[in-house]
Amino acid sequence: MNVKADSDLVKDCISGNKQAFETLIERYKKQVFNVALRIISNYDDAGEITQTTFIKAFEKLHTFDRTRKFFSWLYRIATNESINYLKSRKNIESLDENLVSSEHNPEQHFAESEQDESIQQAIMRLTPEHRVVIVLCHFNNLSYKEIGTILDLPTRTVKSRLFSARRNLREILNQE
Amino acid sequence: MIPDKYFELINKEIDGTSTKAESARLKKYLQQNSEARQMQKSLRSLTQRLHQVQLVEPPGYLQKTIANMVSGASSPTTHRSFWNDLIAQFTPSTSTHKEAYMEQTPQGFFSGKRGILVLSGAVVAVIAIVYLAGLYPPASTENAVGTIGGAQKASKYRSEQLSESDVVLSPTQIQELLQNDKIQTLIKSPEFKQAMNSDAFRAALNSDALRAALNNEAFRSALNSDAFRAAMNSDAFRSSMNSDALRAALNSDALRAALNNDAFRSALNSDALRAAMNSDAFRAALNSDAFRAALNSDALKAAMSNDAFRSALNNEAFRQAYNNEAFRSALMSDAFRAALSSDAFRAALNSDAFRAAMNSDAFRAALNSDAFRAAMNSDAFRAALNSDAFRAALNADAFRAALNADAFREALNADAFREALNTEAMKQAAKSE
Repeated sequence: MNVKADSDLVKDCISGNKQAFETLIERYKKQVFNVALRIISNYDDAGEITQTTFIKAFEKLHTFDRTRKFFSWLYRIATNESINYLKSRKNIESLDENLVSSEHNPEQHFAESEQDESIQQAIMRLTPEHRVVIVLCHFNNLSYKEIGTILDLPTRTVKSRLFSARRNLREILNQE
Repeated sequence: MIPDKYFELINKEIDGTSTKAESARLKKYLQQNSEARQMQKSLRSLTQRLHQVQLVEPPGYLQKTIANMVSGASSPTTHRSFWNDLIAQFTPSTSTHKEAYMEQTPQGFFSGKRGILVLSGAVVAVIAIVYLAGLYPPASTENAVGTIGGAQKASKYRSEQLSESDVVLSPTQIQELLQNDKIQTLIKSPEFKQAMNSDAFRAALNSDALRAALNNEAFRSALNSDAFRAAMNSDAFRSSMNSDALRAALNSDALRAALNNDAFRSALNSDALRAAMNSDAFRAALNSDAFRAALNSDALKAAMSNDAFRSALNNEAFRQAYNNEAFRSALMSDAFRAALSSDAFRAALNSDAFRAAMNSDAFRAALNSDAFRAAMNSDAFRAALNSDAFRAALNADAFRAALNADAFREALNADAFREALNTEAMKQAAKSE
């Protein structure tokens, strides 16, 4: 089966073919949803952020530079939306167990295994900056360079942030 | 304590991004340092754990919801009226009911806690629009659901700035209000549904600037025009509503007055103008007093009715131009505006050469001179603008440099010189610099 490249789908979409955008939704909804979910740790709101991400992408599609990777652009929107969400909840300074506890009951969504659950709880104890690089690197399998593009950071900064994040995550998990 | 450089090497090795030399250096270091070996083992284990974490399946309705929001079409199998959706937001329900509702109506912003919050603000704004646009309540039913803002509503909303706290309704009051035929007609219209499906439009509804604009007679009048409503139906227009610059512009008397003009409203319906409104340059221009004032000029409004001008608005060079103070200043001059009224000038706006010329500092500087503006207003000059050779000349550095000279501009002001400009020989000479 002939699989169309993202750039071709974007081109088709700009030409008025909304079906092409549905293909892009199908292709990236899971990844985008997981970016949001791992950053904010709320299943329902991650769904909302995913919707917002795609709608914003659709509305701004004409501004997208097609020489770049579509998914990087999409993840960038998703990441920004997730960070804005955290800011709006005034949790950016002091994310603690409150976010991963009772109200949103993340267990039901993360508990593929107890290990997944403990990892998510540990991730939520990282700063948002560290959390984002861990999510993009390990859950979305992006390279330093791709993460740099998404976060608008030099590769060197991405590496430094990622390595520090790992060190902190390791310490958090070791404390448990 | 492991030095940073070796900590980095350990991480790079785990990620498979280290060079051979780096790997060798790390190997040597690890042989001598048990703490580093432990760190590497521990980090390797961590990254393996992270990579083993499964991606969580998103909600089943997500694909369809987003697709519906993008296409503006609701699924026939899950269709509920917009009216019912709105009522459902304010109807107390059990969790079972809510779950069933969410399963049946994957309607994006209608689902989820965050969505309800957004909608609540939007509903307030919608009601404000309906109320302030004079659609409701009818004059004779003063006591029927006339509870917006309490007893002060009639004078308050027509004379003071509207704020969110002014529109306070109980769920019952909202339900009663929503049962009004005119409101139902409005919210059931395809244009309104489409608009409400846009994040940008909902965000705009929630902005103070839009609410303040709603208090303006000209803006309310615009809301009542078919052209404005049709514009609300365009992605570009809705998207542009999300820009702070445009919202701020909505608060300017000049833009509101422009909205009250048929030609401008009609222009809102053109793809070119909508696309222009979506550009940062146009929005930035909207923030300039000169540009707003120009929008309010009869010449510019008339120009808005012209396809060539609209097309020019959407051109990058032209956008750059109206982001330029000299150009905006030129827009303020009667001569330039009058020039905009001429077909030849508008046609010139549509030519790449002329647009490119507008993007040059020399040309913009020339635009700022009275002599050049006066020249633009002469038939001979406009006729010259209609010639490819002359437009090409405008694009030549030498010609632009000449435009920058007072003497040349003065010459442009002389009938004889203009006539000369219009001769083939002069056009060809200009083209060859």
